Amino acid sequence: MNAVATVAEVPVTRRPSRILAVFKLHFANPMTVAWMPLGIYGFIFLMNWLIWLIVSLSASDGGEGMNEGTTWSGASLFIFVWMLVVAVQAMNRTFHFALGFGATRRDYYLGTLAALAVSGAGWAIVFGILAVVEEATGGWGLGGHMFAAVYFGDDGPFARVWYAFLLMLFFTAVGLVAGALFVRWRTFGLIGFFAVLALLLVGGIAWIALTDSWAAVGSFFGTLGFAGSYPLLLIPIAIATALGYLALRRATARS
Amino acid sequence: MNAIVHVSGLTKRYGSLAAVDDVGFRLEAGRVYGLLGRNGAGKTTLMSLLTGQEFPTEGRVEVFGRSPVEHADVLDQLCFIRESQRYPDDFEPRHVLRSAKWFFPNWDEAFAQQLVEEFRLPVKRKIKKLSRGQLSAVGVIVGLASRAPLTFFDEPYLGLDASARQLFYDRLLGDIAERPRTVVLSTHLIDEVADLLEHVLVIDRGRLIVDADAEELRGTAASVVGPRAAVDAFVAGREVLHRDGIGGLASATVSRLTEAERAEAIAAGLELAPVSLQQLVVRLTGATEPEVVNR
Repeated sequence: MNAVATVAEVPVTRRPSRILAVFKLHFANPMTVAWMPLGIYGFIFLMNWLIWLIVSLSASDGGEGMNEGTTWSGASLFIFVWMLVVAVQAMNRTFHFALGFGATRRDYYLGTLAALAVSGAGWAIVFGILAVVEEATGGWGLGGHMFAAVYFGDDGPFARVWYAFLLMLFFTAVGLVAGALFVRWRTFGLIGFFAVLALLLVGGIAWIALTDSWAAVGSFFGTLGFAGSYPLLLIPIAIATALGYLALRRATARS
Repeated sequence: MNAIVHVSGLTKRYGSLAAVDDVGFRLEAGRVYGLLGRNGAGKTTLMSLLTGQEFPTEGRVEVFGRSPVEHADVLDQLCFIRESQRYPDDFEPRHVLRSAKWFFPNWDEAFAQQLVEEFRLPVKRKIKKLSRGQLSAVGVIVGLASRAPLTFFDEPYLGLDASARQLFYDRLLGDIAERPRTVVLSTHLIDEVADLLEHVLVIDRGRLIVDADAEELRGTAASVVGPRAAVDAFVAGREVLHRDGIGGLASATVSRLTEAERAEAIAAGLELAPVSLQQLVVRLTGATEPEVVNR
């Protein structure tokens, strides 16, 4: 008898993919990942629509200016921030559990990335469809804008889905690295992360302001346009994803 | 020997505290192990190290021939039911059981459903709202139905009532009789599980102080009870694990006695009493300077 024969006593009949298992784990309770954000989104939309209604009924010009003004609506941005929170929580919710169920950290990370990317894509598509409906119905019958907002340009519905997806991934990646730091170093990890992030942001703004290069920055993005600028998000996405893995690689299940 | 776990010189330090301190042992296939020790002795840390959830500071852990850390082929064969297992906040027991199926290759859904019935576990209630006993039942069901070749139960029955604990023992014994596998039980309720255990590991302050067959261990100590003077005379020069007395009566726990020594004790008017596993562990881990009993 040797160790190999021992293992065979209880044959492992099927070898499930742990990455797939982790992926499914994130969707095991559809309440958090789908129904709740949909409900909140629906509510935000309803509120916006009611406000548009009030404006169009009470404004002397029948809300003529609203068509222009609401293209700057930030109401749709909720879902992006939601994705950030979802990514942070996804880690904290499921990491200990998945590790307890025998997932490797690597498989856990890959499965989580896949789950977040798929939800990001899903939301981007929902977003794109709603934007098309918004345009087709003349702003939900009231000239209001929530989805076809100015931030996503006017390169057509497919480009809008692509931009929304990239923005979604960006917020997800920031949430992911924050979540991984939290799992590894708890609160200190998060504080450190946001401190570094704030320093980088302020430093970047200071650098642009002190070298008087706002115009150059503006023309840089102007030349690239939406189609050229949005894919630049892939750079911070890649960096954050790599950092997240480095943090998680040595994280343990101690609560 | 078909050892499936090899541990040598294993140490885990958190700052200056050595939670596990230079531990070495082997686990053989198909046996039931008791991992005993006081709170904070290092039991959970040791099991976390064996399941690749913690990284050793020093030493070697081999499970099914290689380190469990980040090796899916090893982890596939393990199941570790933590006493303080954290579940996703929004999960209900049914979500836990649904995901268990995706992770454990040998998962038996019918068995899991049977256990849910028997433990009367409400599957559609938020995990957070479960009582301590019901929470333990979730772990016990996952541990049993996962049928992992090497299963760790860390204090599996906190809060479980007596019937549920009995049910756990019965189902565990019944199932491993049909499908032999290795089980490591960590518990405080030593007397309750004493009959289940085939081998005992006792850990105290991070150090392994007992690694012995359960049968042998039961014979390693005996209590002698009788008049104080007779007890004192008998134990003089022997290793005394524990001493107790009321008035003129005294009892002392001493290491294994030979037949001749037993006869000598009886001749001296002393009574001999067996020492239960629980008493033995209490005596070994309660003393300030525990004596090492190694086989």
